[in-house]
Amino acid sequence: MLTIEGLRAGYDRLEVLHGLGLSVEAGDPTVVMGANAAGKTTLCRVVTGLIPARAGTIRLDGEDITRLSSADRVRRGIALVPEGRQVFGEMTVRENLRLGAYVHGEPDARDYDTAFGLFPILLERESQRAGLLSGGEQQMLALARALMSRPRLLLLDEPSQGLAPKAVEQVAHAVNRIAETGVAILLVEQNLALAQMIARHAVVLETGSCVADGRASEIMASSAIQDSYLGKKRN
Amino acid sequence: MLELLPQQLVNGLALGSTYALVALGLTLIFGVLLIPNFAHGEFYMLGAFITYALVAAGLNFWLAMLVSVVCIMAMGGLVDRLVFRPIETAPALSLMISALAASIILQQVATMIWGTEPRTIPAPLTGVIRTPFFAVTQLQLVVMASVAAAFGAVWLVLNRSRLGLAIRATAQNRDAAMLMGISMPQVRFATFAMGAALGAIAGALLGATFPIYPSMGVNPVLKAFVVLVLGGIGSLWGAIFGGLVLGVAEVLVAGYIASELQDIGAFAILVLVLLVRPQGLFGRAQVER
Ligand SMILES: Nc1ncnc2c1ncn2[C@@H]1O[C@H](COP(=O)(O)OP(=O)(O)O)[C@@H](O)[C@H]1O
Ligand SMILES: [Mg+2]
Repeated sequence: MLTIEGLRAGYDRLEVLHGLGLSVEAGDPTVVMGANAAGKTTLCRVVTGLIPARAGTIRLDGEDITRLSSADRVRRGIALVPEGRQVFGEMTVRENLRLGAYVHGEPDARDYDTAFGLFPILLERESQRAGLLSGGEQQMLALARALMSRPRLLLLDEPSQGLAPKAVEQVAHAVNRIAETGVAILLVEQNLALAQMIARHAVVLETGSCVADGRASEIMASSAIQDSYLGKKRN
Repeated sequence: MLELLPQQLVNGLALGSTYALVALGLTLIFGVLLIPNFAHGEFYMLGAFITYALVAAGLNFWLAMLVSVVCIMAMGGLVDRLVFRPIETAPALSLMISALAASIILQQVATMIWGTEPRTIPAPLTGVIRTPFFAVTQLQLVVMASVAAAFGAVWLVLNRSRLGLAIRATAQNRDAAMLMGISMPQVRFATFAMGAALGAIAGALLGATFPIYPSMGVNPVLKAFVVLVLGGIGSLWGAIFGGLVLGVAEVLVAGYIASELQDIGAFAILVLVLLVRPQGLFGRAQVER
């Protein structure tokens, strides 16, 4: 589904990703792990076209999308649940969902049914301003909003951030249900519990390069992760 | 003295309406794209001059104004394309300097075409309506009505159209808007075109009352920035209300204190508002969640 090769990207004079390669398939949910500032969010931003790639290629089902605008990528089926949720706080829940379906014109009833089916709480809050929702509810809205574009590849950037364990479980459950419908999942996560609930394939990022790639269960059990990544987190 | 008050208020509202119209376009562009568009005064100026040229060529004033507004809308999009988009990710200071450069260049172009000598557009309406308390010219009424109409039109576009939804989303969170598949070039063009149209309308109407000259946009744009701070940056209601307050305040200061103090009065109010309500009369305090 998604194949990345030799990807370089960064900000001004700072290069963050130094020739990254990885691939994601539908039916094989992938988690990208890595300490703070490893470049996980930057990866999400390059894949969705918010910042340009300086070198390398990004392919979606074989098609080179490296130079496409973010709008064209959404149209081809890439959606991101961004770090920090980024809901439109001044707009209602329903308007947020409507914006999620922007590339299709207006959403149809099925789109709303899917979103409200996954997160009934959003139906209750439908006409409330998104900025007034709790953190967990905003995360659900961000996820529902991403689904409104009918993605084939869903990226999630640290969806567990700032959530209570109960809400994290709800998010994991929802992502698993989405994955079952054939959507490819690329999850960026530092929370091992959530990663374990979702991912079958794991990639470890360290200062902009991939240092481990394999089955999630093996990677998460390996001493490399336990030492370098979890060790760093504890400090 | 006091028997002049109704007349002063009418004059103040008429003056304030033009401030409001200029500020509305400025606040739209700033609110959505965070661009301090000093060249807005030149949209205003060129709106007046193109109307002038067309009227001089024999066109009816209202038709001339319409053509002028359409031209300035296209020019707004062009200014964005040439002046601001190439430095999209640059710091605010670069945007500001670019805006000043655009402003100066457009003034020079106008000077090359029309010279610096002030000109007048023959007024399309010359009637005066008199009441026991005040007199108001038909043109003043048109200016006030056009502010209401322009505000209504902008409100409708923003709140009742798909494009408006995209523009509002961009104003709130540009990255998130891009993630929805909203096309930034489209939003930018629409925002600049709308903002420029508001400036051009103000220029054409004012040009029918006061002389026009290439640097006529400088002062109104500075006033409009005061209005933005008064009303709350990015707030459409704030632009209208701030403009009217500023106009009335200036006329009252000039009438009851001293006309040399007119601008001081405006800036005194500005300082007062900043002290009491730094977010402006209609601005919402920033809340981090
Ligand atoms: N907008 C930005 N401008 C400049 N540097 C940035 C920006 N965003 C992130 N960085 C830098 O890029 C590096 C990687 O950041 P990021 O991709 O956010 O890491 P992660 O998501 O893994 O924590 C960090 O050193 C960070 O300081
Ligand atoms: Mg991050």
